Amino acid sequence: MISLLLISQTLLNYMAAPQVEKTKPLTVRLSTRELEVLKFLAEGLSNKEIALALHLSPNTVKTHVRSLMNKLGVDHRLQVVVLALRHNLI
Amino acid sequence: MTYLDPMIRLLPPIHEQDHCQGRKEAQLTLVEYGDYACLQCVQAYPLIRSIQAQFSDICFVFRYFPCVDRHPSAQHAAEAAEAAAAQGKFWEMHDRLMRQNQLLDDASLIEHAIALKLDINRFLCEMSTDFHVVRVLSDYNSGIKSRVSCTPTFFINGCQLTGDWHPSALQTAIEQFLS
Repeated sequence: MISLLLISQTLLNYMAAPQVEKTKPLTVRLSTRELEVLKFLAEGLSNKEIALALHLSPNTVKTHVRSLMNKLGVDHRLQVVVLALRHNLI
Repeated sequence: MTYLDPMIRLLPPIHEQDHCQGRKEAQLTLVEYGDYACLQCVQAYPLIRSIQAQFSDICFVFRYFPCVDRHPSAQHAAEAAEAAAAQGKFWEMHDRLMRQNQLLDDASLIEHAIALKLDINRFLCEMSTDFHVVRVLSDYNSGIKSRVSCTPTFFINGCQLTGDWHPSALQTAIEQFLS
């Protein structure tokens, strides 16, 4: 039940967030590791699964995801994927 | 001029795996081979809804026929609909894709999935591993067997509606068929 509530809240946060800018060019530079994490995010892997795939700790993955969100100026990991697809980053 | 051609039959006939609204044994069965990026399919969409409202005993089936050479986004859109179907929300996704058919890029498909509250990780996983390609291809191949060459192509009670497509042709054909 808690996890369901968390998921619902996450989705509500995503829906409430401003829509990802489609036309503004991206000027950010992503590290190789961030690009690897991004690719796995787009494949629907959780932080734990990404950590296993890249031989990293879940906390390190979390840091990379946060860094991606900061660099891309979004509030949710799914927005990272949407923005990355719109700008052909992956 | 459009007409029902009894020589061009639906192959295979409506089956368990089809996405179907209404009972399969209905007096009137309407099968559409469609492409989410096709403007004529989008034009046909409200007409089909109106026909469904008009006739109580009707079974409507949608089969994928993505014409990727003309509409590159059609394949992924069909796979997204199938990914939604795997989570019990085919018709919800179908309606969104038809109503917002200018938003069929991969990023927009994810946004549709989010809006439908699908399990996003599962959706992304299935989309990125081409999990639903076989199902979409199976529908496409059935279209080829049924001599479908463009979209939308309709079958009324198993016979193909042949000729130049225009929206009123479908309504007329159904009315003629029922009379």
